[in-house]
Amino acid sequence: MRWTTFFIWLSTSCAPTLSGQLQGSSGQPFGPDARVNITPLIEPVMPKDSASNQTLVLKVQPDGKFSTDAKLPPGDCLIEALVPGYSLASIHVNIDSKNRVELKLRPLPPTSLRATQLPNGQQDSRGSGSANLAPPSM
Amino acid sequence: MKFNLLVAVTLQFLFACTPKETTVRFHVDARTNQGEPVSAAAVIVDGKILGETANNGSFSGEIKLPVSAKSRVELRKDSDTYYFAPYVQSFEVSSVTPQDVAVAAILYFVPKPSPTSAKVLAGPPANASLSSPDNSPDHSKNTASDANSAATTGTAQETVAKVSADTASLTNEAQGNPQPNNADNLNVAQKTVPLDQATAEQPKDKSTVVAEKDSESEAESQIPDSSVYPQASAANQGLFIFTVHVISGAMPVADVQLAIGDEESSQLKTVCTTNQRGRCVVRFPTKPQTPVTFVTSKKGYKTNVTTVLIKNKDKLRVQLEQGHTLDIYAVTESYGHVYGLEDVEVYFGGKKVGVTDKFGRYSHAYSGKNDDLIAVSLKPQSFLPETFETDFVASQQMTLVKYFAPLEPPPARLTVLKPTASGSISAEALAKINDDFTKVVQSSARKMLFSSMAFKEVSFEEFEQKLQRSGKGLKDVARHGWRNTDLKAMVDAVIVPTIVLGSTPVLELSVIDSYGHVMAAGKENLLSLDDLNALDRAVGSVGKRIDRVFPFEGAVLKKEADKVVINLGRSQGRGVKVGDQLDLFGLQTEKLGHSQLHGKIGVLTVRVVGDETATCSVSGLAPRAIIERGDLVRLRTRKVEDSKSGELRITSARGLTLQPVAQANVYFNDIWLGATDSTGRLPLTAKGSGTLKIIKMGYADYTQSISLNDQIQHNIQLKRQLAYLRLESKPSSAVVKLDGLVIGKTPLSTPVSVQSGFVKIELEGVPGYKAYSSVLELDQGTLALVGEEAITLERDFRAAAQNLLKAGKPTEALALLNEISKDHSDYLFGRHEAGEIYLNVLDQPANAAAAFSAVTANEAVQQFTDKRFVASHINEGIALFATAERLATDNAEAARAHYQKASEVLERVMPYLRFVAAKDYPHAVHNVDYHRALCRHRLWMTTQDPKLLVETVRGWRNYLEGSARAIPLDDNSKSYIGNAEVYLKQASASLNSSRSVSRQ
Repeated sequence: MRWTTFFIWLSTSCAPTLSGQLQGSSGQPFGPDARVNITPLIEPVMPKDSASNQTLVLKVQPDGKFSTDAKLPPGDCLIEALVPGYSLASIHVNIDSKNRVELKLRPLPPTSLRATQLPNGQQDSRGSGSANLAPPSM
Repeated sequence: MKFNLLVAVTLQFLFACTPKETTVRFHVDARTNQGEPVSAAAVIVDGKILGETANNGSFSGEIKLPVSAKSRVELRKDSDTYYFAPYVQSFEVSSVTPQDVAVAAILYFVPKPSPTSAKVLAGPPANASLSSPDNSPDHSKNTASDANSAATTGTAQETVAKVSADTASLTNEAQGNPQPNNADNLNVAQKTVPLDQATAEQPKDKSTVVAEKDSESEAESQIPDSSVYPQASAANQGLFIFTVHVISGAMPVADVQLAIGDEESSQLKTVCTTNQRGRCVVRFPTKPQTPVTFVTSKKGYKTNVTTVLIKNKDKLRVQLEQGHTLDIYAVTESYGHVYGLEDVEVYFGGKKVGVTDKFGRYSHAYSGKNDDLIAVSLKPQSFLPETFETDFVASQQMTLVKYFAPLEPPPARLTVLKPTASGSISAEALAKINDDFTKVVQSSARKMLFSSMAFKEVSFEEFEQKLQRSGKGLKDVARHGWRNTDLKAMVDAVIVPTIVLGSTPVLELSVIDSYGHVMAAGKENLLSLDDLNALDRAVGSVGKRIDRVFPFEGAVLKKEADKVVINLGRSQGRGVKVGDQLDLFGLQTEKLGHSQLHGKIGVLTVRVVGDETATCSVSGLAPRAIIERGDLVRLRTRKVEDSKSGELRITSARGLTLQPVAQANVYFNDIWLGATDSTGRLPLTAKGSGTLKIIKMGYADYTQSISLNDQIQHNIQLKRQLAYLRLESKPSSAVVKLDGLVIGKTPLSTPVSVQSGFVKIELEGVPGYKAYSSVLELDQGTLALVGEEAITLERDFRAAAQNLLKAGKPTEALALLNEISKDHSDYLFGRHEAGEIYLNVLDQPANAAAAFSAVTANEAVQQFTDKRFVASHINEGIALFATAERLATDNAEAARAHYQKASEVLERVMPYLRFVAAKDYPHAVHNVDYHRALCRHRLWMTTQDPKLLVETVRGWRNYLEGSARAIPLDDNSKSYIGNAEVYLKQASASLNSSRSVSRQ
């Protein structure tokens, strides 16, 4: 019984986890809506308390670090970096214990809020002035 | 040997004598697959046309054909509305003796998909071109060949026989008379042809079907047909918006006609037709104070009537039920004004079912079967005919528009305008044409004209008040009429007194109708302007002349054989005389017989005049028209002689061009001949030598001895009177241009002479002030825009602000733009440009949003009726988004409110992006689509609302699959797309995980 419990503990404590680092180009901290998606690509047979085979969404720290203690199924995984301001980046990894991933991100050109102009040549000059334009009555 | 020779000779003889051809007699019976006879089908044998089948589908003819040869007989029929498959039969001529061939031909047919036939079958008189017999191709084509000579029945027969009629004949004439001029007896699909409009009683007599050439086609072509009802309203415009959505079940219904009721004029006016989304927008110039009645109708649906109180930007949802409605409109016409009759009793099958409403309308939802015969009767109060009866064959859309005439001829409602001066005007003369003068003219007119029953006075004050409410000016209505305004319900014509000043003053009275046509005029010399008694006499004298030429209206009382009795006589102020001609308006059956249309159908000539009535003969009657009790008659303007003797063309020089002069009264030997039309032309109906005088306000009088002979066009140029202009401006020293020519600088204290009429005035050249431009109409006299009337120029804040901006001083530029007051013409532009500076230069999105919202708060901009400021809406949305981003870290709630508002603003501007300038369009589309989706994304992230998550995913997908692919990209929009892909993945992942969690 004890050996069974030990082996169960050993097997669960050895299930793989993941951590990683995103690298931007400018050294600027990442915004609060930066995310990493982890999607297992094969359907494993897992104990009930393991991470399921759905996409795991992780928040990215301002310094680009991310990690999870969730029990990931061993096997192939797709890791996608979803950071506004940067192009989509992704990597396939084979998950074993204590995985560490690094992703370099390519920045998108910065956006600027520019007002839309009015059509050209707009002048409203109808009836300006305070003249009484009615001809005198005959 | 001999025997062989004998046989050979005999055989040769036999062959030589054997006839090669024989006579074959054909007996053809042509019918449709439904058993109805087919007329006018060509019978062709071996390529030769033998003839055509008669009305009963039969044909008999003969031809020589070779013996022992195979021959072919064909029947072919052409039709405007149906395809007939040709019938072909082969046969062999077997013997030398003449033989008979019986051909029982069946011609199969299908309807042609023709818009003309669709309109005809649809029935209601929505198309003016179908409504008027004058405009019907049948009438114009058939009458053209008849000219002024009395057209014979034979001619009419030939003409009608050429028409390939495919419908059953409708009149007794056709049914009782088997002559080839009658329509073919081809019933298609039904036993009787359904009528979408009233069928008149079948005439018992046979009026001579004579067509008359319309000798006044030009004048009449200018008079729009008034038989369409409901009539179209004036242009659907105004700032007060009301939207009508028409649905049936859950589906929108397109092409639904929407009419609104005008209580003042008792009219129903069509205002719009629903689009593909079942939507129709009605615009009111001002808010209606009383509930408005909406009538929605479409073929295949029951007519719906709803009365609602109107609120701005409110909506009305109308649920239409499928079915049939019989729509009845009981109307009357009085001097061009068509309006509904209230309380006309409606009977179905002899039972009273209701009365018409205040618009003359009654709708009855019919629940019987198609092809049922419905007997309808109408009984008005005090109108003719006292009872109107007709039958309807139930079909999809049934509309009855019946014109009634008043029992007594209606008085013409006139108002007398204030006198105007023309000719050689002096200050002294002008001073005499004062209020007293006006009062004398008006009281004289009252005495001479309004004392009779023929005219009724509408007070000038009442008229002026109504005029102001309609937004028109006095000159405008006198020049162009008031056809499309509510004034029509009040006044039939205006009397314009003109005093022509010169060596001998002349009083002219012109009567102008709602179309802007001069109906009648007369003039009288005055001894002097001071002699008010003479003025009184002059008005009386002119009034009598007007009485002689005024086109009074009446009605047909009865018809006996070829005589028609009308309710106009020598008394009651109408002065009908023997020889007078009247236009007759009634019902004419449409060519294919599917409907009857109301319009001008003939001409009557007065033969005997009594006190109250007159007896007329029928000078001309349109084909398939019938004269009934209650038909409207209208006196034609009496001219000097009937035959034309040339044409007058009046123009005036304006710069290098000659412009036509309309409404110029032409007198020949003091008798009014008429007034020029909009092209400056007047056909002359006088002959001989005499004095031609032309009077037109604003122009110098024209008098000349002339000889009017033969077909000559007389070209006459009138000279405009001079007017004078004095001008000052604040500030002064503005360069003044008149019609593009520089005439000096303000102040122009010395009057500048200008040709009267329209002139463009421009003031420019004062630094820091905007240019001014306006078009004025100058009459004779002096226009002094001085002192308090001087023109005030506006400061040009925008140009100054632009200069400061270019010089790198945005704050100073802003300060200048913020000075622009709300009543300045540049206020909205100024606010928009301030917003641009806040957003683009100073990075202050909150201030930018406030500036743009000042623009979008303007009512016309808000409702997108002013489409110049679509960019302001876009920028407001972007600025609100940017403000929300700033607030997100410290004030989440305020940020959420801003995201929500930004999303709403961007959503509202979406349908109007096409009005953005072309060069900004791609940028605008990406901006709006991207930020709209991003607002939703942010809202989802802050609230974690699952509904918002679904909308967010949809929003990103729509952007990436729509604008991102279709609209050209720049660097900004490429980044938008990149970010959109990221956001879509984030949201999709969240959506997928939330769905799998819910499944577990």
